[in-house]
Amino acid sequence: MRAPFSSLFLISLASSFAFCGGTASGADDPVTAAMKLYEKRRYEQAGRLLEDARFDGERGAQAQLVLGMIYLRSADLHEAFARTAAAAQLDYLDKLSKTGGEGRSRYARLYLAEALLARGNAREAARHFERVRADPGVDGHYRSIAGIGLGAAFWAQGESARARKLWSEPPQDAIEIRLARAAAQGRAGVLDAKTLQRVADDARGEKYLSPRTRRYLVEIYLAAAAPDQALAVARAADLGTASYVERFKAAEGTAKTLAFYDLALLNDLAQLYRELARRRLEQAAADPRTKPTAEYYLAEALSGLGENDKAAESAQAFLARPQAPAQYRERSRARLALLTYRQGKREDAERIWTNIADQSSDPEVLAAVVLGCAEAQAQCTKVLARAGQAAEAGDVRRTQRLGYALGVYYLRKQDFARAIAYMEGGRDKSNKNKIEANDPEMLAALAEAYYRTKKFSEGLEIFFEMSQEFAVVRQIQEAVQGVYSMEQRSAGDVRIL
Amino acid sequence: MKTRTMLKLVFLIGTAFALPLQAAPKNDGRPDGGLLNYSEYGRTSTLDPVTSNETIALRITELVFNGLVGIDEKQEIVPELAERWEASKDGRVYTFFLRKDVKWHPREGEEARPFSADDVVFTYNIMMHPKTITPLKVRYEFIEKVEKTGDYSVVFTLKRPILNALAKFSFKILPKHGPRNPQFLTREDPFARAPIGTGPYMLKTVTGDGEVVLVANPDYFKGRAHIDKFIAKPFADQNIMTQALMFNAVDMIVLVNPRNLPEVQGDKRFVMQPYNALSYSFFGYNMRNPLLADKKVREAIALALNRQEMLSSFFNSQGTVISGPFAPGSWAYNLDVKPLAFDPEKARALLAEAGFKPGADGTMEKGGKKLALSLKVPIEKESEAVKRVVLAFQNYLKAVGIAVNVEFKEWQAWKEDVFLEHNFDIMFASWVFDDSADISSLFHSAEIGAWKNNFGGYSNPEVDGLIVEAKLTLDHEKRRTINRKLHAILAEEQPYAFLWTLTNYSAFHRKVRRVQIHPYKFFSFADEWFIPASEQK
Repeated sequence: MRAPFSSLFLISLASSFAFCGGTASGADDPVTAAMKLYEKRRYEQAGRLLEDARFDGERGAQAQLVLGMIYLRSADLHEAFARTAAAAQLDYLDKLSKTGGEGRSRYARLYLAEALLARGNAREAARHFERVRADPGVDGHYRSIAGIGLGAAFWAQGESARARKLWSEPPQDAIEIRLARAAAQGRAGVLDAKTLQRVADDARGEKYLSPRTRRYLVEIYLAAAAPDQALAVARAADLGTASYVERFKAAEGTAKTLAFYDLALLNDLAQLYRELARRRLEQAAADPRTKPTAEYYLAEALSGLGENDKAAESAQAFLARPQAPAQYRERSRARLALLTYRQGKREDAERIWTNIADQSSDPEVLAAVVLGCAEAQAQCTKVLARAGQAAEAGDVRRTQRLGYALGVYYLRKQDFARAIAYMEGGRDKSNKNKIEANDPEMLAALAEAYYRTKKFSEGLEIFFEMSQEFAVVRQIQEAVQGVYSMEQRSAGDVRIL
Repeated sequence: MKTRTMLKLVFLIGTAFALPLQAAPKNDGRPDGGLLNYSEYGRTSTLDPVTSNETIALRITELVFNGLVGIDEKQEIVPELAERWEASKDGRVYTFFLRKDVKWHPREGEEARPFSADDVVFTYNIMMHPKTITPLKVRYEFIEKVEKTGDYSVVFTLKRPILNALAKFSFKILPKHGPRNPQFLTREDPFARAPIGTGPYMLKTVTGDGEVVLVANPDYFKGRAHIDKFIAKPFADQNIMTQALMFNAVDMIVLVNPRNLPEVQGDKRFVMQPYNALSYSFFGYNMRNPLLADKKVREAIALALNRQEMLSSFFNSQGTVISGPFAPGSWAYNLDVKPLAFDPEKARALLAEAGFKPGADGTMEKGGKKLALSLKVPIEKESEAVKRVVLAFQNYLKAVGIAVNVEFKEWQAWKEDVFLEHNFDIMFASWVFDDSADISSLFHSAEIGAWKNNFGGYSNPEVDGLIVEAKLTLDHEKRRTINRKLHAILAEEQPYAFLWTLTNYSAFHRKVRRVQIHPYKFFSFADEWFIPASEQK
């Protein structure tokens, strides 16, 4: 459990209360209840609790602050899901699209193209979109969607004229195609917010919204700078539902089915939560009572959104406050170092990180530094040596976050054995897959490392448990199961234990 | 001078010819030596890879025997007794070219004999003999014939191509000169208790206390294993196993009691690795009893059990309640099938539908017969947690009017009751699976019989058909679809009350290095493990 972090946060929250002279309410107060759920990592439940509540004045500012924190963690978590999902889905869809013969899938390639585009590989995505468009076995509806996707792939490669041409192909009535086009154009910035809002609002009036439709609506509302409406769409959906189920015919026996999911949904949710976090924290920062704590988290939100200058401003404002707790101060400095790195001042950044690591024995601070190095993909040799020693020597209960940070660093370096060793070192094994005891971001990263080392059942166990809170992980489970069934090489043994 | 040099040369040459040819050491710079004591939860009756159906024997046979091929940690097929192979284009003919440098473990007073194609043919024939009692037959029914085409080459012809064929040839090879009976193998054959193989470790002895002592095979074809000796020590109580680890009486525990996980994890002397994730516990029914042949009764039992409460109370919630015949970590698990909820009201209603009425003592009756059942539990698995589960089961069923008489039996006697005599109504056990998710031996009607895994006599033509279809298909995704269907049907049919998958870890002392535990077989890579010289005992 992230006990040190949460208790220090509570000190900060109490400080902001003390600063403004406010007092916490009783046990059934939604803000308090939401904080308790937040500490148990039940982010969905925590968020819904506060979203549904109404507050005024001081309590309102606190609610915005807590919501901001919840959304920030949700954003990070969905980003972790997206990374793990990408690893498994790209493999799975690639294998499916290469399977020939009578039982070959017509739709694996479309989903592969969309997944590649979602992960920034526009060139490969274009190649697959083109093949889908040329396949007479694919329904015309999905060939049209592939055309729009191809346009998005061209746009991402700077070929705007080709993109516009594809997007201007004869309009069709089907809601999914209308929305696919609007989503692609919204992402590209060629439609204004008002038009996007209108397209989305019109579609929401439909009786039935398919999973694909919902995904487009989230994207369109995000592009229209209407994240609250995007959230409403997401909340109304069963995020574990497949985007498309391909059903095969069988002359005799069982007809197989394949379920496909939108990898882009995870990216969209990560972006949505980060945008929501920014808004809530900006609101909290407008209130002098919650401003100090809000500034701290706002820096993180803005950094995640790529708004480096504004993030730096927030971090510096926080650091300028004399009453900022030491651990948070150091973490803020670590974040500033990351922003410095992004500005191209790599040596300066590494120097700051090394300095922080040398002077701190706090595993949470060391974790923040290592995560910065991981994000930047910096060498950080001295930092890693110091952090590694601290992780190995420390109490497991205190060094979980540090183990996670080191695990993420080595995961991004593709040193999977080391990644697993560090993350497992910090894992509460007696509550192996429980998110109350183990940070779900860590579990998602660990599942990715296990997937990469073909220990598929370990990852599936993690997501089985996590699916109880986060339905959206279903797409990861399906992809990992698919790859596992193809890759496993066991003989068919079963024994009495 | 010249004469002396010549004499030296002659002596050296003579010595070289006189000494038996030895396999090379591993030459990996790691030290040989040391003893590894590891604890087993219970004892096994047989140590051969054909007749046994339990995990203790599986682990030991992994040290003693080899297959034609192995599977490495990257899920890739690697050479073992076969140094290379060829497959025909139609996937029906597999030719294996065998190593020429392999020797069988020598028996006392005997020379080590060479391994050859004869042993491979012998193994297949003995495995498939009608009188050999083994759960392996169903796995290898796809083989039409095997022929020796030379002293070191063997050809397997399949009835049809199958998915993942090469992995199937990891079955362990027995020596032709091994079993007393050259035709078929039973548990009574001395070979079943004193096997010889080609593996990195040789069986030295089984002590009166049931300790299995294995020593490194100096002639192992992959190079002598580093650790000199393994001793498998049986324990009847998982708590005592943990204490043995904490007090250095053993160096390794195969499965840590879930209740002891915090204690072991908190001790920096030990490393923990996941093991046996693909396992689950269950209460199995004997369908030969007409009371249990009624699906309503079985479903009522499932509804009467509060599995989450049992898991929380007796295992500190260290596990997951399951809904069907696969573990949650399996690729075959149907994610849409949820476990039956705890609903004793519905249980009573189902029993009423089945024609039962409460008798004077509260026990349900039908046609003058009480709904009273026997539950047999192996005593060597008599951990505190198991006792509590069994007691809770009894109480939950009593609450809905089903009387359960619990009988703890010694492990071998329990196995005979369940797998041979089928003398039980309900039993409690756990299955462990490899990655294949193959449940054919558990639920296909052809697997009903003495020592076969379908001990409950479950028979459903639809399930039979699906199992066969899964075996015949060459389409991975079709096989997944079929398994999802099987999961749904068996969840509804309840041939077992499916309970939970526990959080399973093995634990070992840090001094044992380079440990990679196979998630099912455990010791697949044990020849690479080593203990630094300074820490050897």
